[in-house]
Amino acid sequence: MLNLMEILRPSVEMKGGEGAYSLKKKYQEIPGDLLILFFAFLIMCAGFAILRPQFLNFRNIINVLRTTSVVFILASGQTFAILSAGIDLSQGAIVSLVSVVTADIVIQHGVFWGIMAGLGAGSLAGFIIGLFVGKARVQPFISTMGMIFIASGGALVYTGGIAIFGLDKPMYQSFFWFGGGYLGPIPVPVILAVIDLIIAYFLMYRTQFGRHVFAIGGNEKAAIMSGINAGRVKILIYTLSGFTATLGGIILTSRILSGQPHLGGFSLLMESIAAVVIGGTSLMGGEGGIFRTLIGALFIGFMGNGLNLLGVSTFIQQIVIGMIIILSVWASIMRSRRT
Amino acid sequence: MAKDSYLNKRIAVNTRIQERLMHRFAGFHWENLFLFAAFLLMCGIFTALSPAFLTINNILNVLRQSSIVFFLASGQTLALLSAGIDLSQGSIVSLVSVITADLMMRGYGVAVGMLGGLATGLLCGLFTGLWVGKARLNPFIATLGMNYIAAGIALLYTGGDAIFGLPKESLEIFGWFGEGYFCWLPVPIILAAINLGIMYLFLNHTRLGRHIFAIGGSEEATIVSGINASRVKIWVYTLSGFLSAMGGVILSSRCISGQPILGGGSLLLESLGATVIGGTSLFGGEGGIFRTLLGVMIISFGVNGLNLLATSTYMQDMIVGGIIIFSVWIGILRRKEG
Repeated sequence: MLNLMEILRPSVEMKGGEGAYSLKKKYQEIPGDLLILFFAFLIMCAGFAILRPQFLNFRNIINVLRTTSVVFILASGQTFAILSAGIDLSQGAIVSLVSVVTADIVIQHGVFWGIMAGLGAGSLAGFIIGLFVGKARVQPFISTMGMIFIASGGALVYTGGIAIFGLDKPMYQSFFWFGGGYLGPIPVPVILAVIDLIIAYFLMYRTQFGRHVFAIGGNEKAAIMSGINAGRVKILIYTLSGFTATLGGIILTSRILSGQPHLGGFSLLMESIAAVVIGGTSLMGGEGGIFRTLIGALFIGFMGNGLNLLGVSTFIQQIVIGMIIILSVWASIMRSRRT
Repeated sequence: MAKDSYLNKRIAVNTRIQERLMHRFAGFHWENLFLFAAFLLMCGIFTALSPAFLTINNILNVLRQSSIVFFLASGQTLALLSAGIDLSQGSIVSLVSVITADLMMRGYGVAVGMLGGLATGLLCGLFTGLWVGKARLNPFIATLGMNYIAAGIALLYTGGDAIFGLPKESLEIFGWFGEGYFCWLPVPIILAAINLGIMYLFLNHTRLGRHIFAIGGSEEATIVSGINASRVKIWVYTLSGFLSAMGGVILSSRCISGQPILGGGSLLLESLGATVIGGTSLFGGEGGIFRTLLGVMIISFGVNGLNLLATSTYMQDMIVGGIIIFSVWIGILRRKEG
């Protein structure tokens, strides 16, 4: 399993004076479809930049990155679920649940406890899914679909169906920092997304857990035979996925300064899955990675922004996203068939 | 001698019938009976708690509402049986609603409007079917893409507005399909019953139907034994698109307007949920149309009963989610025991 960081790191062979050869070999090892996707992304950005110069404005780019960071954070958890040949359909519903719980507790007990309660509620929902998938062996699709109903119903029951307002008072200033604040010139959500990327990278490629995720996705029976506790790994995967959804939910809640029981609808979930799939992570499990998801999320984010600048209706954008999902997966199928 | 051969023939026929009966019972799943018993128990409890539950009016109302989900769920059953899935049903409903209403607004009449809607659904299904069958795209991806595309086209077609005020001459006939009665039975129920019969015959007594089961069971084995798997898959998604379109036409007829976000809500989830609760496996090859019928009944009568008991709709969502997970879990536990 190859990734960008490993390509960038000097290898042992390079020290032996065979750098050029080794580098060439490394480049050949980069999955072709990832390169194509990356070039397609660059060409798309160049096209937008020529047609609308303001596309490359620093403020525009920062804005797009800020909106994309939420989708990326959700998609990073989704990547783990899909890599293990599962899927997490409940992320959108968890975002809604976290939004109302966080907003309510922030108002009642202060910012710190609000965020803790939100993190607790979302991770608990993920953990429950994990128990059903890992211990009771209910298919991930079913368990997470059930959780859509449970979590979104729970969010509505919690508030009685209405939104929670009142977070805009000055005493909650610190809460707004998570979604709307800046650290230097860079928005906080972007920084959180970068931290998320680093942690996800570390978990995926530098820990036993990450290797087990790939192993389970590649061939679950073989993984169990070779002594991997698949149930435990799956509990961790769905807890992690629930946790990333929670993080996204808190950032969104902080940005809109209210608790909305409909915050994480179907479209947020679909974008999370689309980012993973466009990046080229296989739904069959075992193939893919976090950098693919990053490119997928950036692709969706910048494409939406560029089309907006060109004045293309959001309705047409939906059609374009649908076509890209189908064509990107088709392209990778064609490539794998040729080799 | 003649009598002997006659007797032998009789015995042979009898044993054949016996074998067939044995086969029927061997193929019978106890899960089915268990689920049916759970359904009856649920209805019993609701009847005891609320006198309004077991009235003809209430039952007919629930059946009328659930017939739309049943159309979608029977398409979903085909997709799940072939080890696939159809995520595009919701937006196909939206697109069909808009096209049907628009054709009527332009004065082409009810027949053209409805046929246009049905043809749209059929084409959407054919489009996904070609991607799944010919390009061998994962059904999840192909239908996810189609979900975006159809939803976008529906919104684009009307500019995001709903189409109201259908012409009077078509209103009466069109409304009949969703709200009308034939004798004393609501029309959607009759249509759903016809659909049930056709689907049963199709799945159990036609070659294509059995091929769908075969592909879901083991695709490789099916291809090796000479079945054209991609053709079967194209059929599956085309039919699922057509059945979604039927649901879309009936639903538009019930709200006598064209709504570009008609199927954007929980319609897809209900269709999937009903199929799964009935016990059709996501891995394909196992399940059937009667199971889906039972799944639809459990969801719709469950929700109706909870409504009569004045449970909040939000609470109902949570209960439906719990039922989905537990029904599948019980199925898994029983299979482990057996």
